[in-house]
Amino acid sequence: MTASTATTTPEKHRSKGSSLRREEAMWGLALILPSTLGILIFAILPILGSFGISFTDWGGLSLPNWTGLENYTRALGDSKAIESIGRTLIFTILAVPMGLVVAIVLASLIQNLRLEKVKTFFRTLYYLPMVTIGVATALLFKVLFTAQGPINLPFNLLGIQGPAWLDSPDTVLTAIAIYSVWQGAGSSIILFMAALANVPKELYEAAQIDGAQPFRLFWHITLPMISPTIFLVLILSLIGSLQVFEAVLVMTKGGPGDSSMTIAMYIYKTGFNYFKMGYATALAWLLSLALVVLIVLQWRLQKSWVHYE
Amino acid sequence: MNNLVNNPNPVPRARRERWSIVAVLTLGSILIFVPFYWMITMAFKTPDEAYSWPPTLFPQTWTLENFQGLFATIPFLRMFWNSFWTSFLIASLNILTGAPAAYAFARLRFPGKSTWFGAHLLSMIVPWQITIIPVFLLIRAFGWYDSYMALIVPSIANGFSVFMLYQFFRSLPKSLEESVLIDGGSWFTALRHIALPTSSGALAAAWLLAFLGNWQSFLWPLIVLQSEEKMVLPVGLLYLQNQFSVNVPVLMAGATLSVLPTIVAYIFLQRYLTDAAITSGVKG
Amino acid sequence: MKKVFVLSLALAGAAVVAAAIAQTSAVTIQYATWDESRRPVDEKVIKAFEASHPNIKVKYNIVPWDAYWQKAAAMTAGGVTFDVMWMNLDNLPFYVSQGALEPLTVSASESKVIPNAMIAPYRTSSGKVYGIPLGPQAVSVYINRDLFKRRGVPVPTKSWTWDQMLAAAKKLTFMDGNKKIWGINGQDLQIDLEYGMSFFYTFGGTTIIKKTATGYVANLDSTFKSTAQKLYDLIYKHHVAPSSKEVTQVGYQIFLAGQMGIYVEGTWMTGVLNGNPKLNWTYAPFPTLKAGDKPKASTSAHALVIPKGAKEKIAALEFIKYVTTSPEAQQVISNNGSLATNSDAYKAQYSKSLPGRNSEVILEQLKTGVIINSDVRLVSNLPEVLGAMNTAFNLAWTGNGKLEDAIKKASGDMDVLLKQAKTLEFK
Repeated sequence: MTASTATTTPEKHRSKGSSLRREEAMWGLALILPSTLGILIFAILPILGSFGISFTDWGGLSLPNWTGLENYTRALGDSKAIESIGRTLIFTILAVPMGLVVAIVLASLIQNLRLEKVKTFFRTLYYLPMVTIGVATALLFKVLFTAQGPINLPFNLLGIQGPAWLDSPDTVLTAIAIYSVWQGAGSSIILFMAALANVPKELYEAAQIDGAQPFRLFWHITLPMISPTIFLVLILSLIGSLQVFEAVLVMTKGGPGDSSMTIAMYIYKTGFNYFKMGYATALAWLLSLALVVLIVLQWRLQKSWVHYE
Repeated sequence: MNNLVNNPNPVPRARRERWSIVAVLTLGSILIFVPFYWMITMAFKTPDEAYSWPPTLFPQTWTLENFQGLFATIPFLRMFWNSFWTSFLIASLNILTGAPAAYAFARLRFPGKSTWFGAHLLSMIVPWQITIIPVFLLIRAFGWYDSYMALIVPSIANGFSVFMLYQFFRSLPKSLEESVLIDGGSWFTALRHIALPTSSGALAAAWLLAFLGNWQSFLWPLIVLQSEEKMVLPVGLLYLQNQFSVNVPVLMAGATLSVLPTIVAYIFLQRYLTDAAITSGVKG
Repeated sequence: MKKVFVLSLALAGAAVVAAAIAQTSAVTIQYATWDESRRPVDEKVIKAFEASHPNIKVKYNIVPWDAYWQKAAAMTAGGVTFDVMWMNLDNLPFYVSQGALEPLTVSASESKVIPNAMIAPYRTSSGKVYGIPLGPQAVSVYINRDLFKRRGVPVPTKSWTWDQMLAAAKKLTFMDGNKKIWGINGQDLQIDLEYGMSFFYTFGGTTIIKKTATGYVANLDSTFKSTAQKLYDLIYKHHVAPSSKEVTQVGYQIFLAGQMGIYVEGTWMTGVLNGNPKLNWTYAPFPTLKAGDKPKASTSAHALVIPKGAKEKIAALEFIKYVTTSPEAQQVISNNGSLATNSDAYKAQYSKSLPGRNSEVILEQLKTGVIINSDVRLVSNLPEVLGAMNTAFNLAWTGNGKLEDAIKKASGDMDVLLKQAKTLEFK
């Protein structure tokens, strides 16, 4: 399936002898062989296989029957699936902007510090949740978010009974979003710090001579200059949010009722709890399709706000 | 990235500003730190105290019974070790297969290059829901269910490691390798003696990110491993929660013991992780 | 020096060979259960089994309930399975219809020991037996004697009604210094769970899914509604049971800590409650609607099954028969506060192992117990239907919705799913 796309680069050094070229090609193929073999067997082949499964009624135990487009047409009328997509979008709207703002603000504050050691200290600390086992921290936040948990201590001091965050449909998605920002901000902060470090000083100096205020500097110089990174982080967190699963499985299993049943959780339940592997796979393909559409859309939109040098 | 300050004008008013920046950052750090503090102190509280309201900020009576409860419920050390060695091995295999591939993609010309590279990228972005069932079927066909092979072999190649190292190799100057090639050395020599030594930082970062990815993964091991003695830590923690006799202090003891070692290791290794994540411009 | 080396090498080699021989002569069977609370009893039974069957080793695996079925399905699909598995009636028809279980051969003398009523659900229309039941377990009522005494509530021993229980729960709800004492547990008594369903059957309910000429429809009738209301009111009207906003702990933890008067749970919790010697607990009769009614609490008889993919089928069957029919195992089980498969024959041991716990009410209750959803278990997507029902009621029981809305939603969601339902083959 790939031989037809050979020679992607124009041959320039024909005069130097094709033996060198051949040797380079041989080495190239040899060097990528182990990795590519692994990718082909355990990623590409399964992707093709799952596409096939999505057209069957396979339940996991007995043999599958071909059902054509039935799974896909059923998905379009599955109100639970559609509701779970809506919920996933709400979660994304809660988590992604919050994560972006927190990361940009913290990164630029850290970048404004003078002592390298202090910078390293904060950077290290904010990255800390990234190196812990997600299941462990999700379990921890499940405890923190109970009505009697420490997150409600400030409410208690004000004499208000704080909510049972994970037990109410009004707060459960917010709570999971807060957790995912807590967990994931570190890596975005590091990316933003890198971008901020690369903004040329001269730009600020020129603007300051004109008497611009810090906020204006940030808005008119910093943000446009780091916009490619904002775009990168946005795409990465969109992909993460739309597939949110681990936190939901550990913290709520989709409850209360199904108020935190995200699409990834719904697919998991459909496949592994109710043995509808064929249907679950079709849903997974629809999710990927949505992801691709979203990424392409962002790609188109970026032209209007991302500033490349 | 050193010594770059966005506001390069150290006039006196900057001092007050700087303190307020430190204050905000400290507040943020507290928000990061408080959950961990809660977890650790809860692990040492008696059940009575753990459930009391308002909660105590510091254990009134320190107890180790939660840790005893943890070790009585799951083979914690065994699971920790399983998680550690499998993650270690997989991360090493990722680099072993990924570094040459990344180098070839970044430097060499060979047939089908963009197709093979595209396959790596595709493996990176496709959601797990798509591949998990077919890979499971492969495992079944190979007869690897409930064996470490099921955990390790599908993870040997890692598209993300390849992509990350590819980005890095591309940023290296070509001149040194070219001199090796002109002297009659092979591409392999160039990779081994020039490219790899100069990129130890990026390799370390890619290794660490691969290690962390496996260290945290729980869905795949949950599905392909069965025997308790083969089980890995995140699944063990999930089991701990699922026991109908759910006991929060014991849970927190388990979380503490699984989180602390990585935090300690991270404090020593953080330079590689955060620096190289910066240099390569990708996140883990 | 060299000789010593060669000699030790030879010895080591011999030891390896000997170990290998010992290994091949003994088989190990993988035994899986979800019930952690039964562990002490199970381990004793396994020990006794291994003592009398030196060539079979039993590896005991506990997989928590939440992961158990997913694990079992993945394993069956993966072609590697446990040799002996716990199975419940909800899931049995699905596994049988997928050809995932091995039919078991039971001799006449063995089947004499197993009460027919218990094995019947595991026998197909063509007479094949796919599971041999363990002892019955029942949803029962535990009460804290000390709290009853303190509040001047008479301890019920033979029977009591719902109204009497509610009155007791009201008296038992009070502040003890700064500690809140609760009358009864409430979160677990969600109507669709086996605890809630026990009240439903006792109050005259028959089924939640009705078979029609064309298929199945939800049947959340007036008995269902009134029962649900009663249970719901414990938390949100009478405030004698804690809501999830009021407590962090689950019911058993509060009861175990001596802060709850009445606790509705399965008999499987007995061992856990015995773990607190300070807790003066006893079984109470299951409450009925009117005096003189018989309780119809949920009785489960989980069975041991052998999956098709099991490697040690002969040894597995040997083990199953030992656990369910041998006098040795029955005695070990009965002597440790659990009911044996042939519970009638071991009543005395059972009661003796639970001194002062009024275990007679359990034996009495078993006579009229019902198997939950036994009439609808051939509905092909029953787990999903029950899942939808659970989701709807969970919203009400967590205090996030009205009960009427939950009933409406449950009924509607169930009907949607039941339209796709087929009847499983069980032969």
